[in-house]
Amino acid sequence: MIVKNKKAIIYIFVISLLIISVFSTFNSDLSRAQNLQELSGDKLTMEPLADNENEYLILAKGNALLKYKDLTISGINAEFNTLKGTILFNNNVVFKSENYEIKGDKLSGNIDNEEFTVSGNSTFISKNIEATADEIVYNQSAEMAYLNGNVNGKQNGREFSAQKISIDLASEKIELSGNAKLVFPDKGE
Amino acid sequence: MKLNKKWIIVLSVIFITITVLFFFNFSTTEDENNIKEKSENSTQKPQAEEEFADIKLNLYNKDKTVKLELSAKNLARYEDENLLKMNPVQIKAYDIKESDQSKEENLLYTLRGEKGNYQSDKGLLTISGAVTIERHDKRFSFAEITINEDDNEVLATGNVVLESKKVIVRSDRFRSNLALDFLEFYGDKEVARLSWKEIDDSEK
Repeated sequence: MIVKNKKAIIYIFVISLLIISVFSTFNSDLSRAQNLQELSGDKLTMEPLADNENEYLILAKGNALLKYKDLTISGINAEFNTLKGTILFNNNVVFKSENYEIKGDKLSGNIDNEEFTVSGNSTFISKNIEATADEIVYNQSAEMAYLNGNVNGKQNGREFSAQKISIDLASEKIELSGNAKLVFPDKGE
Repeated sequence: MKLNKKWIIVLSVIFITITVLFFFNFSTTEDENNIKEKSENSTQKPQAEEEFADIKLNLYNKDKTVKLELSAKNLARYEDENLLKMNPVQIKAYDIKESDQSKEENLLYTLRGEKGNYQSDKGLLTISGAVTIERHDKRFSFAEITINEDDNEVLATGNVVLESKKVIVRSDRFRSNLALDFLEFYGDKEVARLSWKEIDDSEK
């Protein structure tokens, strides 16, 4: 009786795993399709990815623009791998949402895990915060921005500098770490 | 005697005038006739040397890796211009894989259009009038496509649209090779746009 039950449990476990894996792939495709809106450029090249007729490496050359959820990412050139969900933007990259803007020379990231890294002359601009850093990591699901390396900026007139800062995008709270300095107006450090 | 001289001069003048008038008139009518003939010739359509119905032709790219099986309901041959005019046209493109022992042909796509012109000396095939290409679950449409056998190149223009289950691409121009291994979309008036289709509730 116990042996039979064990077998049944193993069968149920294997079937559940299969169902979960099938549904998770389907849901990932579904959510990506709903979030992605448009990719445009002066020239779009679509190269099919290894034996998969429906997945492409898409190259946008000149005035590349991706509309994703309520965000837009623009640059001179862009690459999008529809199989892996990876994106790469080059030259005059501007990442724009309703409340903030991130600029830089290069943006790389993944649509599926909603994390993007902007590097090279990178700047974060919101209504109350303006900061520069070596690179800015933006995580959409966590609503966080992480500015790494030589961070300088100001929030509501207060100047700050640090090796790293994290910005909670919902509350605009910032956390400084590594040689952190905060300068209050007319009060000094 | 004096009178005779006068008459001779008067008669000579009249003769010269008549001759000049006659030649002038003659050359003008001749020019008019030439112009008429020329205009008649220019409006006259070249006659087809031969006309055929329900014809099939096989064309290949330079390295013979792609076969285009062309069929047309009507075909007219104009030898002077090395031109074949066809309507309506259907092309089935096959990928050829050849080894010492076997030859395999796989259907790549089917192209349909209202009219087709094939210039055999240049290896150029132009299909126009609501052209479509169907390949698996993808469908291309455009106003005109030119297939260059020698350069292994296809160029499509005019309201270029590619539609698949997931995406729609719109552009002014499209370029690829005969096997459609890659797809290049160019925006001339506006940027080329790839839009992801929205999935409705029934598909969720």
